[in-house]
Amino acid sequence: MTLLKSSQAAKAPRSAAGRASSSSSAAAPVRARKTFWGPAFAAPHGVGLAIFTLAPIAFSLAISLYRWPLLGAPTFLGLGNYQRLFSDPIFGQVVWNTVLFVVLYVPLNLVVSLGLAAWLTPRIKGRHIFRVIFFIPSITPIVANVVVWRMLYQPSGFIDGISQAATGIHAPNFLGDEHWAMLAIVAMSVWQGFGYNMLVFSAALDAVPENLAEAAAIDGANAWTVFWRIKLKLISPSIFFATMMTLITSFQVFAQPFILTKGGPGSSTSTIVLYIYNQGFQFHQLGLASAAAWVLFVIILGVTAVQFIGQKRWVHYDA
Amino acid sequence: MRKEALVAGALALGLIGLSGCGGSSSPTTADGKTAMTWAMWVGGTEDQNGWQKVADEVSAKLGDVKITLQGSTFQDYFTKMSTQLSSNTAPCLVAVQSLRTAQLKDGMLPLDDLVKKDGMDLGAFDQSMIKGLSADGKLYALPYDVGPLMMFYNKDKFAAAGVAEPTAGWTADDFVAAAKKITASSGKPAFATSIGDLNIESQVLAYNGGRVTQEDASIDASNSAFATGLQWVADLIGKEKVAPQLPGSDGSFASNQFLSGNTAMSIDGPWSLIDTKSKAKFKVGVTTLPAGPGGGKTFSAGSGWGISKQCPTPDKAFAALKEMTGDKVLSELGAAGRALPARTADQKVWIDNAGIPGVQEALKAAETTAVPMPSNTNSDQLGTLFSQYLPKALNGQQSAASVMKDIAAQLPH
Repeated sequence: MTLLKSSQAAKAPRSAAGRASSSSSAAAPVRARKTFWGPAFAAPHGVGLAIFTLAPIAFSLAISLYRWPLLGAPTFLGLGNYQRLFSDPIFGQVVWNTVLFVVLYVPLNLVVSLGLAAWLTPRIKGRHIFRVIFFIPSITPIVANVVVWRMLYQPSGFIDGISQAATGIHAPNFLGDEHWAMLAIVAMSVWQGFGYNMLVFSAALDAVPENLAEAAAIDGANAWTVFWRIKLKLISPSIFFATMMTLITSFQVFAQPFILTKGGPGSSTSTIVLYIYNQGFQFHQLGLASAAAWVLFVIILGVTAVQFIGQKRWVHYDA
Repeated sequence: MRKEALVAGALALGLIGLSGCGGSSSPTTADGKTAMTWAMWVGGTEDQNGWQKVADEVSAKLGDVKITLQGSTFQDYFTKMSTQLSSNTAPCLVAVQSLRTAQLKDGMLPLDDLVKKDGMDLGAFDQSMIKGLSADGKLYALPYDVGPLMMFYNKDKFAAAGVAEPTAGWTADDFVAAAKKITASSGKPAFATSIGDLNIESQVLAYNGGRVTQEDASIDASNSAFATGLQWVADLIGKEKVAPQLPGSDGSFASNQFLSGNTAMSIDGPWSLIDTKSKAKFKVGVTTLPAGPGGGKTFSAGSGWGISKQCPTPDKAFAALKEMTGDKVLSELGAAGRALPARTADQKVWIDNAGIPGVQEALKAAETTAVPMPSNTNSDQLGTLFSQYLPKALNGQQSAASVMKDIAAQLPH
């Protein structure tokens, strides 16, 4: 700042001799060009954001205050849709199912993906091939996955066949029994979803400096201690990121119950997004569906906020 | 700065406007014909080609119209169409299943005036479908196919078990006795229950006359006769052990089990008969649904094509509809086994082509006991709740009456 001032002061006498006007007229177009092109490049995105994100969000909040049929005129209900949701035992069950899915799926996903990432050290031969194999379920279309899993799960299917051959006992009717259906969906989801987090963890573990582990080993730390006390702490930002993303996406679980069970048997696998879809597009109650979407938004916002507050205790950014 | 921001905004809007131009469709083709989209459910490439042929033939016949097919699966069709009708993006020509007429009618154009203006003879169509495709006294679509729900059976399995083939008018007791013998002989359950609304409601209607969709089109999910009939169907799995447990909500389970030769009987409509016969590696027979005390009837359903309210050229669309449901196209559809024609005079070609001995008698017997299944605005919701909740009743996890009570609680009162 001081340098700038002194250089301006040094130039001032010469500018005063008649260049002041030409200097300012040269700077003005540059500034104008800058102020024009900046917003010009940002505008398409800004307008897109406004039209395709902000406006629908505001519109959905407005819809949630109406009885809004797909065909026909809407009527204003105020908070009627929210009152109906909170007094509807099915919605209570749906929220519980979603929480149950999250509680079962997220830890399982993280343990499986972290475990495999830890196993896939550079010392493993063909680790790149394993990485690809483990990542395949994440990139194959979920509909194709579901068809395969349905064949595994159904009575007289693959699992039932093995169970009968090995023990003579029928395997449970995984998708037709309300006590098993959610577990079946969680198992399929973990298989489908661990690959992404495994890649994140694998890359993070590769980035941990080898000399830290070597130093710890010289100090007498065994492999488990090195992993638990050093590597895990160093990759904690990645674990935090993966946990956050997995939590958010698992609260939004839809395709697996939609294709595998339609939310059944009964409402045992009906999740919040499936409820929103059914209310909105099957039962044509867009107001109720929007209200449920806002409830889901608040739940995800709350859980994410708690995560951010809690991260101070276990996430280390200053490695 | 303000001016520049405005210019930038205008630039962005211009870009969006340009991209929007690419997506919109002109009602006129390059060669001056009226472009018209036809929304139809499509079950595969063969199906797609069959309907495309209809579109091409009708376009060629009319000369001044170009019909483009917009296909989606049957499962997704009604969700998509409801959304399109409500968002002013619906095509001109819209396929309607008789069960879903009431659900789509607010976005559809009543055809009565166009029929009157044209002088079309609706008497040539099966009257149950004219009724089925009407709502509140107005006709919303012209039918192309019709059919009562029937029982398809595997002739080879009946022969292998030494069981006489069923004849029209057989009873529920005959059905259970045959199913028990076939199950014992083949070691596999003889029948798989379908949880599709039309199939399960027809099976119960034939058994004891219980129905959820009432004659006046109202929905009574807590109907006690229906719960009793549903419990009988559930007992075929749990007590009689002649049917397998349902693997959840898989809507094609029963027909797949039948086609793969696992089960010996399956409830289905004439619209599937020729396709089933061509795919099955066994001889296919067909008869009426087994009748129980107080039952003996079956539901009939069918589909047709109507015009959306958003269609800018309803007269041309009606001209297309008239061709699509005319003798020529319906005879071709019948000959291809794609549909049992809704024009009664064209049904013979379907019967001849089916090549199944006794199909004409079975069809006639079923038609005499058939009642059209009325449509309700909540028919789709009922169908979704059936696929979600009925496995609990049928797999014996909850009584039929209790499950129907749960379904009733979720339907609008």
